[in-house]
Amino acid sequence: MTLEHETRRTIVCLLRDGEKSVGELARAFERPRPGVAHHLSVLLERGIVQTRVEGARRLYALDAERALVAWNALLRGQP
Amino acid sequence: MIRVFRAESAAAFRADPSGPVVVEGTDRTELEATVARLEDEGRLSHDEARTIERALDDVTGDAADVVLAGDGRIFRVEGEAPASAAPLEWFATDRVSPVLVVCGSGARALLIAEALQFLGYNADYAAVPQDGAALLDRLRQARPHVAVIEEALLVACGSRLLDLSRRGDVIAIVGLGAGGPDGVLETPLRLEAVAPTLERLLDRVRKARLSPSVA
Repeated sequence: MTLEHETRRTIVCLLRDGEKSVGELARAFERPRPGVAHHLSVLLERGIVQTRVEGARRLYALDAERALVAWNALLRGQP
Repeated sequence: MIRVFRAESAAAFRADPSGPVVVEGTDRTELEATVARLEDEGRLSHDEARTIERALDDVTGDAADVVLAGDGRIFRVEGEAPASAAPLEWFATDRVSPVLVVCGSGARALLIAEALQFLGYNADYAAVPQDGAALLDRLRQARPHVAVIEEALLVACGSRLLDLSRRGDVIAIVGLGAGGPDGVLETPLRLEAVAPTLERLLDRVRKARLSPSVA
């Protein structure tokens, strides 16, 4: 399940209030997390995150509806 | 202009759209007809055609680049405003009042607290053994406005929880699964069902704490 990984859940939470660059996301973590870019690409492939280019920056934004579906799938897997 | 590209690798999928355009146009009806024709001609696979249709549903403007990958089963859209992160009806409006999730399993409590945090709630979690005294102690320490408590713990605690919620700090008790005196969040939890319950209770507790006579 896409959100089984803690880093992906954190990324989804961080994007909830607006788009961010990968650098902003990495800095928002309380402690260094490896593979933020990798986890972003997984979320991108699943359609939970979308991206656009603004000047020299690539920005990532949440598709809230798809994030909700992914969260519900994760919660369904709980006993 | 809406253009559809086919990425040959994961790196190309993430990079700026480039390479041959699979299909392009500004009129959606025409684009869909072109996709159907290309599928008939075998120039687009069934998966690619369906994925393009889904991608077109996601494109809100008339200028976007769609990139296909994974044998045509996945896509991303670039060049238009991204999906809105604006609050939907299931996001929290009260992001301050403390909510505590209490379960017998710490992992389960954490996951549910994270889900509530995703919705915007100021949620924390606690794991307590299946005995009522430990649960009451935890609630007295944490002083949440709303406690979301696993059904089994509610059963263990019984009416003592009601006493707690009616004495001193007002706490609304929501059962996780069943049985909450103030509300229930059914399991498996569906996040779109959370806000109607929590918003109502947080509002009630906030008013009660400001004006004890309301409680």
